[in-house]
Amino acid sequence: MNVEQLSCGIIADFTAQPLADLLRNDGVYPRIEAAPAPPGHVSQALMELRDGGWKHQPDLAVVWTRPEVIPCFRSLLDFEPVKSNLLLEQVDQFAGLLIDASAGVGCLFATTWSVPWYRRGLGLLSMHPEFGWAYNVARMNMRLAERVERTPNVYLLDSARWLSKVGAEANNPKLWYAGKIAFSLEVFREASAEIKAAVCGLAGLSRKLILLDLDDTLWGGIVGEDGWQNLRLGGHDPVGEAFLEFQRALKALTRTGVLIGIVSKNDQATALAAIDNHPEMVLRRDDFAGWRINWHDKAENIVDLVSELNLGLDAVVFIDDSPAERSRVRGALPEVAVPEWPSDKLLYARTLLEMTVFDRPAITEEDQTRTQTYAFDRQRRSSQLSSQSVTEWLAELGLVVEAARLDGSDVVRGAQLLNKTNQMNLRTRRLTQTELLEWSHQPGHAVFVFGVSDRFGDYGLTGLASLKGEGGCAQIADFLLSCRVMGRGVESAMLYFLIEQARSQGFRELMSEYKPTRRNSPCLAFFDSVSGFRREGDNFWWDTQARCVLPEHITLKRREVPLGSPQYDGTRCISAATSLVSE
Amino acid sequence: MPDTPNAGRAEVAECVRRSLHQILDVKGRKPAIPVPDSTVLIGAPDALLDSLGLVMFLAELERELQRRWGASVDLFGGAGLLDQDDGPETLRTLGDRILGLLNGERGAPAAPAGRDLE
Repeated sequence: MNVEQLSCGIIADFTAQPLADLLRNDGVYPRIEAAPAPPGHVSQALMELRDGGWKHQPDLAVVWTRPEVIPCFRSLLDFEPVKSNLLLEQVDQFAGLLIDASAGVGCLFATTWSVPWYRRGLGLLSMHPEFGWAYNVARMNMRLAERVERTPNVYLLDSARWLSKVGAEANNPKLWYAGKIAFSLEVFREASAEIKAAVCGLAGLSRKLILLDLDDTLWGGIVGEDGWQNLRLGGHDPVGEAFLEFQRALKALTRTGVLIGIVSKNDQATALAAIDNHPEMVLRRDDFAGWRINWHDKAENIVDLVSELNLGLDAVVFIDDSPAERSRVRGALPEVAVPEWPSDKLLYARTLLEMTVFDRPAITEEDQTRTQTYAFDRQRRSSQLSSQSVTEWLAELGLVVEAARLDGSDVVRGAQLLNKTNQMNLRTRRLTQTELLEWSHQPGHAVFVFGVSDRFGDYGLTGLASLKGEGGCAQIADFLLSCRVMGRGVESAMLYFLIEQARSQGFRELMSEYKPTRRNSPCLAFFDSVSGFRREGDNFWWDTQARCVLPEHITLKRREVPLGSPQYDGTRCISAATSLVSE
Repeated sequence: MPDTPNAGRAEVAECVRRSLHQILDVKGRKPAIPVPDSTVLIGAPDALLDSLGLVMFLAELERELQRRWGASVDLFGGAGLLDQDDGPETLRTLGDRILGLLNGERGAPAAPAGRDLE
């Protein structure tokens, strides 16, 4: 999915031109060239999408319907008796159309159904199982979600949230009667923003690190002056409660793979004492991937910390209550997202929760434990200091690399790696889960994933590489490794494995083509550093009969995957534990 | 009709222009700033708005007028703007209609005809 040139087809049972206009013109990244199908012909448009019958087949589709698209619900609105199972059958049929249509596009967004606020359903009856409009819309949405759950490129978007945010003006009868426009412009704006955030999330453009100020940002008060015992945090105090809620929201984000760190002008010992000792702190030292607590310039501290964490500045969100610090960071580091932060502390949590820059399509096991891996990294760094040399330190780490063919359980993480890895990435090919699986199904193609662990802990699945056989040559189609394990010989082990695979399949040469981007020069540096490669321009050639050496400090294991094509298993986002065969 | 004694041409013109720019922004069109009073909004081949744009514009303008004067002005039915057989509607003639509605004189301009909306 090329985010810079996206086309979108909109299928709706109302006039959706305003959404198409906003996707193109609202000034929010990315600009999406969108066109609506003629309104009212939802089933036909979905079938044509499935069959490739659109004049210009779009990259993505948005399907936005009112609950009346389900005939039984239309009857319910007239208080006609409706059989419950028939209502759900019709939802199943609609879900089937969505799933079929999704084969014709990279991804398909469908909106959940909502009842406009003025449809009260006679109040007392609104949640009645037989007649209740609200009750049955909730059932329909649940059923739809269950039916599309296992289709990797269909995503449901919560339209009720857009209506709720806009409020009473979300629906304007005049727009409906005069133009068959079901919603006001504000609702379309919300929808456009949400669709774009989803696209960015799918393309791996979500932010990965929140850097926080401390005083009056993470807690109320100045720790250096008030002492940690007197900070406003929790307790019977609205402001203290608001800070507690803000910390909870941050903690929740860390469980989705977002890292948090501290950039604060403070005395480090004093600040860390507050984090360690305040009884109501939700965030403790191990919740932070790193910190720079000193009196230096914050922009410089951000660059320093981001470099230590092996991330790019475009992965960072900086939150600070001080307008002056925000302005300084905005000016010095334009890649860093610096949201306008409310002066009212009671709005902190809401402001964070409203942000769209952390949207992602899945939460993997690696995401859930990412903060922990950075805590392990601190231990590693400290062990490095006590080692005599880097070689000795690497040997002491006890690195284990586990290689496996991509299977259904790894595809969520595999696609995430493909779309989020920038630095150690040979060709920066971005694929959705479906596209990755389809590619891996092609004859002569093979996709491998690599898990890494050491004596301090498990990094999880951090590498992906793929081979494409052509004639007597195997081409490396993808070669990427998470920045968390770069520079420890894992990339050499991956290359060793690929050469071995190419040789065992009878290929005489292994070729890799480096595609430069703004961020992937570390990958070029790695390939340049490997002796045995013949370089021609941006192409590297390896004679598979030549000797290749696995780094001594790495144990390479192979995870056996049953023969047969990989199948997507949407219910398993977490890597499967399978039998390991040591080399 | 609500009592809106302070509805003047300049304020109405500002409301109209603000709403118009909202819609044109959504459409990705950048008109001349300020849009001249003689600009034809609807009812002519070179009109600024298509039928869908007109509907969105009127809804936006109704909201704008409600916000500014607290007045519920019916531009869809009351002003008959959707009936494009009435001939071209310019920014000026639309402003006159709105002034008439706000001041309780449906269709009648509240200021001497021919004055520009400034």
